[in-house]
Amino acid sequence: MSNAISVQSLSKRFGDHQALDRVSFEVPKGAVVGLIGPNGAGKTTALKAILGLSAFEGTVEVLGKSPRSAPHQMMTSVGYISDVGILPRWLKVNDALKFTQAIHPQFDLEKAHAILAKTDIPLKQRVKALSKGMVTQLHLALVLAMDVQLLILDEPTLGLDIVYRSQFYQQILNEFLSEDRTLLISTHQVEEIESLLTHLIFIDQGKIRLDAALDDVYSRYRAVDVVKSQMSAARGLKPLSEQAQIEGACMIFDGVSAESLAELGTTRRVGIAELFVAMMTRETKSTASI
Amino acid sequence: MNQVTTLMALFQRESWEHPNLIWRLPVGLVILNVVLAIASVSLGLQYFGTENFKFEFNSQDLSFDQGGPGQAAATFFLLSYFLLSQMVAIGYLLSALYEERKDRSILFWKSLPVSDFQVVLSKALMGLVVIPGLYLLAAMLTFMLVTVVLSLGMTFLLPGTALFDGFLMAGLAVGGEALRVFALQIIWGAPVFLWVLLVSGLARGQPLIWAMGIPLLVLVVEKSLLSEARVFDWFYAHATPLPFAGAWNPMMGSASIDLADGFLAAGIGLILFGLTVFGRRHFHEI
Repeated sequence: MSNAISVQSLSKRFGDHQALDRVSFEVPKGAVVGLIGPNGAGKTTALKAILGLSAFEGTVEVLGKSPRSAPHQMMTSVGYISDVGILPRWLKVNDALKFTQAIHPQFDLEKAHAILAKTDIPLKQRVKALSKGMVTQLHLALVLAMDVQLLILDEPTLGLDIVYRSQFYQQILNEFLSEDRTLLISTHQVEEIESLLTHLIFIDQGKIRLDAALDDVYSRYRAVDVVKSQMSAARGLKPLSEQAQIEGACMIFDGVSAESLAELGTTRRVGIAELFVAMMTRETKSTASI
Repeated sequence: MNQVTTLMALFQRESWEHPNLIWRLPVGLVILNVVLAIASVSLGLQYFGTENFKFEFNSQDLSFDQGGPGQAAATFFLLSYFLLSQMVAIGYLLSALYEERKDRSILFWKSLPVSDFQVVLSKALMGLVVIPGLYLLAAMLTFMLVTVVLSLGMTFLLPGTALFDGFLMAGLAVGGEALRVFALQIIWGAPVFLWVLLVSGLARGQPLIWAMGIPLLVLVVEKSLLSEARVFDWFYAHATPLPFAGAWNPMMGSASIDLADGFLAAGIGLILFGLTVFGRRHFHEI
């Protein structure tokens, strides 16, 4: 089993709306995969299907198990954090630790305490008295102490300030990421996870637009700050996007050789966020022209 | 993890979520009744005075055997606590699977290695067995403590332990019957209690209206089509706690339910339980 997650022809319909349309992708073991897409793209729907939280068509395998058959058994090896606010507000921090220790075979109470000791979370406090950031810290502490093999995060830092977001990813880097552990994260805040990622999946309108290792993305796509004099030549190479600048434009190219691009202006590594915007904007224009 | 350990952890979770319903209310009632008993005895003694007390007891009035004040007191506490426990249990079950969907905390619970079967079982047992059981214990404790208070307060009138012994015997007799009623009520009430739990797991809003509305709709349909409402009447009977459904009179003897009816109630309860587990598995989102 070299893949932590294997998704084949995953489809999901809500009434007339096709939320996922025969989506296929794989998450290799040990990878850190960013699932990126605009609102309504199908990210959460895909994650819920993977976790067995909703019915779906197609085939999904998570750590060799089907989420259809016994999802609760799968959760001994899988951790999941949804957007902020799914911890029960009446639950005390201590009780959350106690309960998880009682029902999770791998839960390490000492590790949870050690992680929480680095925060300002009072152990006797109820979730409703904690700030959004603290709730996320608590949830992350619980999940990290479960010693899972796969961590699935669905917009985990939604609504958090930059300090908490930074601490969140730092903790994941320090406490979770290792060779045999896999992370699948869906987020809008692409820039702050770019340094963590090994793989990238763009999803839009229920379809996969890009599924590649990050290194391949960087070698395939290049951003160029094109000088004014080279604008026609640059446009002739059919860029993915063109953003006007004071002197020329910034363009993103797909599969164009470095030598050809070097003549146009200053080339640099493409950012995931700008690539994402470029691809989604292009799709919108293609759909509009049809 | 061990199934029993998980179940106990789930029970504990319920007590954390509903401390008022599950243990604070019965403990509070025990304390309140004991305090009232102490106050009554104290005020009574103060008012009448121990030396000038002229009240004459008829020996029959003082009979603390079956049918006397001891039995009345025990029946009062056990029946009233029992009735309260049934209302509390229904209220608990109505929110048991609804609140976790409403506040989306179900996504957290489902991210843990606990099956839908275990969760629904814990909530069903909490409503059918644990809450009534705790209130039954509270009732017995209340009766015992009140008996002690009364005995201590009345020792000047009735030297010896006649009151205590009499009340204790009456309490044991009534308590024995109460245990029998408690056990039978689990089966008797299963269809209605598990119906409420099912509604709690499926309703998108206003579970109380759905829990009552659908049976009323069944009543209307039955009356319209068949001129009688057998299904509704059956559920209505089972919605009435046993002591008030005519199945038990503490003065008349042991409680019982019809065997065939018991099997039917248990069977319907199991079907509703299965549907609830299925619903939590597949239709958990609001």
